[in-house]
Amino acid sequence: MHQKRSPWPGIAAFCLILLLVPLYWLFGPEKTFSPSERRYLAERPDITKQDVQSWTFDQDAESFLADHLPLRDMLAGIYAYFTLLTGRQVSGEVWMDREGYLLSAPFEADQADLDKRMTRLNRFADTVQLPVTILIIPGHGWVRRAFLPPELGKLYKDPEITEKIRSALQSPGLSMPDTLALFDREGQGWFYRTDHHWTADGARAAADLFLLHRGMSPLSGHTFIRSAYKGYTGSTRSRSALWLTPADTLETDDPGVPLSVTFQDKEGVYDSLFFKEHLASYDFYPLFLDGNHSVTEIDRQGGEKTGRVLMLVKDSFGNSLAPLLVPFFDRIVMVDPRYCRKSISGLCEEYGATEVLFCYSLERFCTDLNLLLLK
Amino acid sequence: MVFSSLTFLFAFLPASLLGYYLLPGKYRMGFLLFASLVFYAWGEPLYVFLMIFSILLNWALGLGMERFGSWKKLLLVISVAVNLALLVTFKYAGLFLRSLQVFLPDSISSAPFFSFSPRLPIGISFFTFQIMSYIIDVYRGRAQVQHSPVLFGTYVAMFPQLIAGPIVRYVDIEKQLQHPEISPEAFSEGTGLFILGLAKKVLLANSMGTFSAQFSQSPADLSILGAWITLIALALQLYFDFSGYSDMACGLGRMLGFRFVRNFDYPYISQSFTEYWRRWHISLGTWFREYVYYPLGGNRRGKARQILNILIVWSLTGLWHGAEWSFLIWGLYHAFLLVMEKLFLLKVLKAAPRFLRHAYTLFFLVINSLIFSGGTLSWMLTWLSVMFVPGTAPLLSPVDTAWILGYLPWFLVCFLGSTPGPRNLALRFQNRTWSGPVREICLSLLFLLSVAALTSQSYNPFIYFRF
Repeated sequence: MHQKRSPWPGIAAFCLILLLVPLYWLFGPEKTFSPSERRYLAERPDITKQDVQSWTFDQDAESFLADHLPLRDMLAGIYAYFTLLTGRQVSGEVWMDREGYLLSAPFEADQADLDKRMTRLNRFADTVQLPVTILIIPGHGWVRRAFLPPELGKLYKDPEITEKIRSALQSPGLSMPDTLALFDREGQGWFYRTDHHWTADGARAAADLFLLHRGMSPLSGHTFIRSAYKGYTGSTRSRSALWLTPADTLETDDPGVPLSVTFQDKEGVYDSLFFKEHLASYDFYPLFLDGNHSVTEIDRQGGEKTGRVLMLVKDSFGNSLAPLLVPFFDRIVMVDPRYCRKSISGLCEEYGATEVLFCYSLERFCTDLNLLLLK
Repeated sequence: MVFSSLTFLFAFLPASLLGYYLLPGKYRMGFLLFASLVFYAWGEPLYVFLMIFSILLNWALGLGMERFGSWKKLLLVISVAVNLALLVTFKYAGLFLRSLQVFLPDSISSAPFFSFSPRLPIGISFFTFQIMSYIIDVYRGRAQVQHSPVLFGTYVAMFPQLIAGPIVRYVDIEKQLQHPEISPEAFSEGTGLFILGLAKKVLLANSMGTFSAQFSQSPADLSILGAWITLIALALQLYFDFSGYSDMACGLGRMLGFRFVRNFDYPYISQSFTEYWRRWHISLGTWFREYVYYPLGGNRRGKARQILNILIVWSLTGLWHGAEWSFLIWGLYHAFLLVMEKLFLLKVLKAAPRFLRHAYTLFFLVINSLIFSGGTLSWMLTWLSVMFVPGTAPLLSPVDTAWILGYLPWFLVCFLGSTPGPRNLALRFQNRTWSGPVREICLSLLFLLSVAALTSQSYNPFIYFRF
């Protein structure tokens, strides 16, 4: 016999959802920033005459509604896990390996673009007439490729791209220690689970590689004070929306020597390499040297004078590397070309640099447009 | 505004349903017309006046046909001419002028007139055909003249089928405009259909779209298997995108008390192209058959004339899909296959085993998706050479392997979803006591996943949006 089902439960559920969402948009709290996504949310559209003429109002409205959807993080998370569980992570920006590490998907390096970068770099080295070391950090994904399904692991091209960079080094002042061999060792915990940055151990290994490459003693000859901060969630977790990934513990190594830190784009003189106010924010990483600044000067005021001044040209990886190098240089000048329009060779002269270190992740080195303006 | 946008789902739809159901019955169609014009104006603030003009003109011409019977033919000609003129001006003028430029000397072809290319009003191909179905059926005496401009306007502009069909013939909806079937059962059926359509579009079509987009930019980098599977993904994307939209339209119609014609009937299970076109975009096929093929004589005037009629209909069908010559080629491709089937192929196929008939149809449908994707001739030739010329490309590349393995479960879901299997399963168990709750849970999950996907996808266009 045909069982007649009541249509009402389905109708009630559908209509309830349809009504609750607009009520939330109208009367719910209006957030301006999403800590989980690390971005400012779209503002409530304000219709202007221009909007009506160009009819961009509909896009603004859609952006606002999407950004302020109730349970937005949860919905994004549901879809991220749905994508992961159905095997489609190949199309995403972030891949999860079988140990739960979040890895940036491979990137493509354009050969013509890379040639331009290398021409600039060679010219720079010829201009400054100083030893210039290139420390390129391979991608987290390539380092952990063994933990990915084989078909995904094969897509990382870090060795090929690194080799292209190495083969394009022409200036006699340029050298490039083998970071691929350094990081291509499994189970060392070189990188965070939720972030693309290296851990304190990863930074130490790179610092040692650089110091030995430049004929200095390794870090083990110096004492560092290690601190650990629980609850660190990095940018790959934000990009992935895989919210169930457990947080990391951020570790710092303090050289424990008197020093002063100044920034060209921020007032004040600071006596620490670590800015703990950032531990209260959504992103811990600016704990290292207050995050990215155009030019940062670190002057060591204690310990033996070495007569060495390092010009550290870097992306955010350099922020956690610099504290480890403090005992070896009287002064470290950090330049971030993303925020600094000055001539770096000019800065080398101004600060009396004795050597230059480029510390970049491979992806940033190949994609940061500011390196095309290097001089 | 598209159905798979948050603006539609959580702003326009609740406001429209609330207004529709809270108002007394006699005001409902007026409200639906108002809501539909708002819906159209959201995406086309200026062209909404074009549509209002078109509605009023054709409504008046319909009344004129009733009142001035002896001028009926002239009024029909005026209506058809004006409707086609609007369609040609907005949709095809740019194509014709661009093509004409090639044959003219530079001094003439560089005139500003030749760069005339107006923006295409959304849904113009759909609502123009709907209006023409009304006026032709009134002329033929198959439909009553609609005296109310509100009801006629509602028929033309009704938002569920306004921008991407199905093409609803006036005769099919004439009575429903007066007496829509308002009931909880109809509303419930509508929500189910709408959610299924939304899931088809957002979960399946968009997934296939992501897959095909990865490879379709540079066919020269493709492997042989990659090229084949990308075209299969394109074919699946096309089906789930368009049939998903049609399901949403039919679902919204049911929620408002209308029953639209079914637009898709599992076309990929077809065993010939003749059968395929009885299952794919049924409302368009019906329209061309009723208003072009039969008036041209159909198959009543001998084989040669029938072939000519097929060529005419399919050239027009191709151009209806897009104002590019590649769509004309696409139409002629279908015409060629249909003519071959009429002449001898259907007889050959009838004698062939069933799997061969499927293989034949699916093979040419895969090639169909290459032509339909609208690439340049050299792009298509490169693609075909990868697929068919040995030694042009490797069998499989690492990138293709990763994508194919990653999307394998989705291909399987799409293959299954394009057969009647899931529907038959649901029908088989529909009388069980648990079928009701299971249906609601499945629909709720699909709705949740679709909204979650929409939250994650910022770019979400419909393929058929601009037709």
